[in-house]
Amino acid sequence: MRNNTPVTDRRIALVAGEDLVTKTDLQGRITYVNPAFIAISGFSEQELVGEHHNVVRHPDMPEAAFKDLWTTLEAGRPWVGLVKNRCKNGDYYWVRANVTPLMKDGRLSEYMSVRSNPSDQDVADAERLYQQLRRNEATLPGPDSVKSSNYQSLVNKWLMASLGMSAVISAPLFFTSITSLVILGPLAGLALFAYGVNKVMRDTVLAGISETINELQNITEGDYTRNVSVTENGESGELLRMVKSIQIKLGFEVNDAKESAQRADRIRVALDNVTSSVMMADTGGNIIYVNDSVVDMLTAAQDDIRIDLPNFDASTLMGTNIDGFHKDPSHQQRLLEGLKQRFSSKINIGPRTFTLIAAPVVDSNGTRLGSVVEWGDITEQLGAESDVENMIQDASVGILDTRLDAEKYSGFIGNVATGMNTMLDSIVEPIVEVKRVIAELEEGNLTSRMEGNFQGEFAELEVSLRAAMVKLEEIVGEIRTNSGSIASGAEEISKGNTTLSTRTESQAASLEETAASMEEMTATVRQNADNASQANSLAENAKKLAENGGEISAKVVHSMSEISSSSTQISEIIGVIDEIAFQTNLLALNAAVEAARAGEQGRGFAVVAAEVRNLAQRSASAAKEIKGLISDSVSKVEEGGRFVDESGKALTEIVAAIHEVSTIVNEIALASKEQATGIDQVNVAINDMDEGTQQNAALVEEVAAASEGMEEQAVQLRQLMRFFSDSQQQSNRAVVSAPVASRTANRRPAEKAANSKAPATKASSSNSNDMEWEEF
Amino acid sequence: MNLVSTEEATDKGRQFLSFIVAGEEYATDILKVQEIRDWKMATLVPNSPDYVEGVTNLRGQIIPIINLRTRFDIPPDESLKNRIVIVLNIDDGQRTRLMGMLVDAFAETYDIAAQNIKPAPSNISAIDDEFIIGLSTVEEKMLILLDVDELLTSKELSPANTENVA
Repeated sequence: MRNNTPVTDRRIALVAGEDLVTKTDLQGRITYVNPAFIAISGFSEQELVGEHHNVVRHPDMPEAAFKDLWTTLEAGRPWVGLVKNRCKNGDYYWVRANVTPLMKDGRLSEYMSVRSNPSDQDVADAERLYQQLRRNEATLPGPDSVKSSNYQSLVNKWLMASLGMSAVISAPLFFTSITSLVILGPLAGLALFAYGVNKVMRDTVLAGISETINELQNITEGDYTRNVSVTENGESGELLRMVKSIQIKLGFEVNDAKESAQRADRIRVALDNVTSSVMMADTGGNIIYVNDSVVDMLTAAQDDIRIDLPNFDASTLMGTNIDGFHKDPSHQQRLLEGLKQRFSSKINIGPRTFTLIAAPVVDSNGTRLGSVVEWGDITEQLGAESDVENMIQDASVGILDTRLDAEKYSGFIGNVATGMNTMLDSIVEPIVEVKRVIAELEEGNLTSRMEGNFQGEFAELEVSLRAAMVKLEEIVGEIRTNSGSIASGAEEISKGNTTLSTRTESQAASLEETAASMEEMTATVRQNADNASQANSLAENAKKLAENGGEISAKVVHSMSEISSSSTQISEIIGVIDEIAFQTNLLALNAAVEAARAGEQGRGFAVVAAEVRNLAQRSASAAKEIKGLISDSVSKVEEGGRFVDESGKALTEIVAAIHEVSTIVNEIALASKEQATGIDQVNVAINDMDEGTQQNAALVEEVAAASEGMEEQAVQLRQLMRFFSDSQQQSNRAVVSAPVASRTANRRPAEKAANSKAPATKASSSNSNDMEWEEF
Repeated sequence: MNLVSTEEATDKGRQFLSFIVAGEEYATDILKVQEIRDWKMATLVPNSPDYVEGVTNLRGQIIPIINLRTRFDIPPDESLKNRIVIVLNIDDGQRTRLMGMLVDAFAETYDIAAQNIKPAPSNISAIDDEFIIGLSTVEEKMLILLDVDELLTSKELSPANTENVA
C-alpha cells in the first residue's frame, strides 16, 4: 500500500457547490481531473493525469475501505463512502465520494468519481469507523452480502408454505374419507399463497419502486448530491443502485458542461477585451461575433471606407455578411470556404489599407464551424514607415532637423514618432553643443564646455570633451610656462656658447704650446736614448777591464801563496840552523862545565868553549833575526794576499755592479725608445685634439646659431600660445602683464649679446614682441 | 864579560852556571853540574809528586827529572822550546847521586867573587831560605844563587827518590 508522507493536522474545507470530479481507467490511473480537484489537491494537472489515484491517498485511510471500494466497483455497482485525502503539502480534506463504473458496449470501461462536501457528523462517524478498521476491531460488510435478487426466493417461500399448508389440511381430510373436503387443503394453500404474493408485492416491490421514483424525481429537479442508498437488497436495490450511477454520471456531465460554459465565457470576455481586432463568421459568411477593438477600428475608418462601400455602417456589423467588405464577394466566399489553414492578405478600401489574417474554426471532430478574421488597419503604419524612412535618410546624410508629426499618429506609431523625435532631439542637442565648443576652441577659447544634461554615451562624450579641453588647457598653460623657460634656456645656452667658444680658443692655444713642448721633449728623449747607449758601451768596456783585473788579482794571489810557501821553507831551514846553534851552545856549555871541572888545566879549553858559545849565540841570534824577518815577510805576504783577495772580490762585485749598470742603462735606452714612440703617439693625439678643437669651435658657432634660432622660435611659440585663452589666463590677465613686461626687459640685453650676428631680424621680432606685450 | 869573570875567578871566586825559570835568572855552582842536555820527554812514574816530571836514561843510569817550575809553584808553560835539563850531582849528606833539573833555558857562566854574594833577606819569597845561597848582582841583573843539594833533597822528596832510585 502506498504511504504518502508527510502529513499535517490541517484540514482543508471544500468550497460549497464545487464538486471534485475525476475519471480513472480500470487500473486506477487518473485520466481526467476537474479544476476544483486540482486546486484542493495542490498538485498540478500534469502531476495528476496518468498517475495512480492513490497519489492523493491519506495514510489514515484503512486498506479495508479501499478493498471494499474496488470489490464494489468490480461488481459493477456504484460505491458511496467518506474518504480522507491528502494534499501535496500534507494537509487533508474529507469528501463524500460517489464512485460509479461506466459501461461502454456492455463492458466496464472506466470509473467516474464525484466528490461532495460531507457533513461534520458523517466525518466524525467515518473517523471512528476507520480507526476501528485500522485496529481490526470492525469489518465492513462485503458487497456479496447485498443480494441482487430476492423476489423469487420470497415468492418461493410463500409457495412452499401454501403447498405445505394444503398438504397438512388435505391429508387428514383424505383419510377421513370425506373426499369432498380434500379440496379445502389446496384452497387454503391458494389463499395463503395469494396473501404471500400480495405481501411481497406491497412490502418489497412497491416500496422499492416508489423509492426509486422518489429519487428519480429528485434528479430531475437537478439535485445530484442526494444520498441514495446503495445497500438495499434485491431487485429494487439494484434499481436504486442504477439510479445512483445515473445520478453520479449526470452530476459529472452537468459539472463538465458548467465548466465548458465557463471556459467559453472566459474566452469570449478575453476576446472582447484584446486590442487585436477580431471578427468571426459562420460557414455562410454571416458575422456572428465582433469584438470592441474591431468596432472601434472600423468606426474610425468608417468615412474612408464609405468612399468605396457607401452602405458601410460599423455599428451594425453583427448579422451582416462578411462579403460586404468586398467588391467581388464570390472570390472572397471561395477563399473562405477553401480555407484550411491560416491565411493572411492585405486589402485596400478607399485610402485605407488593412491586413487580414483569416483562419478556419473547426470543432474537435474536424467539422467546419466558420472562420475567424483578425483585422489590422496599417494605413497609419505605412504612412509612418515612409515618414520614418525619409527622416532616417535625412539623418544619414546629416540633416538632423527633420521631425515626425506625432499628432498625426496614434497608439504605438504615435509613441514611436514621439520617441524618434525625442531621440533625434537628444542626439542633436549634444552635437550642437560639441559644434559650439569646437567653434569656440577654433577662436582660441579653451574655457568653453558642453552645457546641458546628458546621459549615457552623450554624458561620456561630454566628460571626454571636458577632459580633452581641460587637458588642452593644461597643455597650453604648460607650453606657455615652458616657452618662457625655453627662452631663458636658449639665452643660457647662448651665454654658455660664448664661454665655450673662449675656452675652445684657449684650449687650441694650449694645444699648440703642448705640441711645441712635446717636440722639445722628443729631442731630449732621443738625446737620452743616445747617451744611454753610449753609457752602455762604456759600461761594457769597464766590465771587461774589471774582469781582467780580477784575473790579474787571482794570479797575484797565486804568486803570494808561492812566496808564502817559500818563506815557510826558509823558516824551516832557519829552524834547522837555530837548532844547530842551540846544540852547539849546549856542547859549548858542557865544554865550559868540563873546563870548570878541570880547573886551571881547563882554562884554555874554557876560552875555546866560550868562543864557540859566542859563535853559536851569534848564529842563533842571526837565525832569530832572519826568522823574524821571514815571519814578518810571511805575515806581510799573507796580508798582501788578503788584500789581493779582497781586491779580487771587489773586482767581482764591480763586474756585477757594472753588469747591473749595463742592464739598467740598457733598460733606460729601451725606455727612452718607448718614450720616443709614446711621444710620437702623443703628438698624433695632440694633432687630433687640435683638429677636434677646431671642429668644436666650428660646432660651437653652429650651436650659437641654433640657439639663436631656438630663442626666436620660443618667442614665436609664446606668441602662438597667446592665441589660446584659458581660465587661469582670463582671471590673471591684468595681474600677469606687469611681471611679463619686466621679464621682457630682462631678456633684451641677453638677446643682444647672443644675437650680435643678426641684429636686424632680432630687432624687428623684439619690436613686435614689445607691441604685443603692450597690448597685453 | 868573559874578561871580568875570568878576573873575578882569579880572585878566588866561584864559577856559576845561570839558567832561566819563568823569566827569572837563577844560578847554581857549576861544579855541581854533571852535564847539560836538551829536554826530551821523560818516562812517567806513577804515584810520584807532581814536580817529578819522570825518569830518563842517562847513558845506562836512571835519573829523576825535577820540573823547577812546578817545584817553585809556577804554572808550566808548554810553549817553551829549547828547554834544557841540567844534570846535577846531588849530595844529600850520605851519598851522591844524579838528578835532572828541567829549566826554561840556560843563560851564562859567571865567575862571582865571594864578597859579591849577599845573603838573601829572610821570608822574601815562596822559596824557602834554606834553598838560597845568596843573591848577587851581575851586569845590573839580580841573580839568585840556589843550593841545589838542599833544593832537590828536601824531606818530602828524598825518601821517595831514594826508594825509586834504589
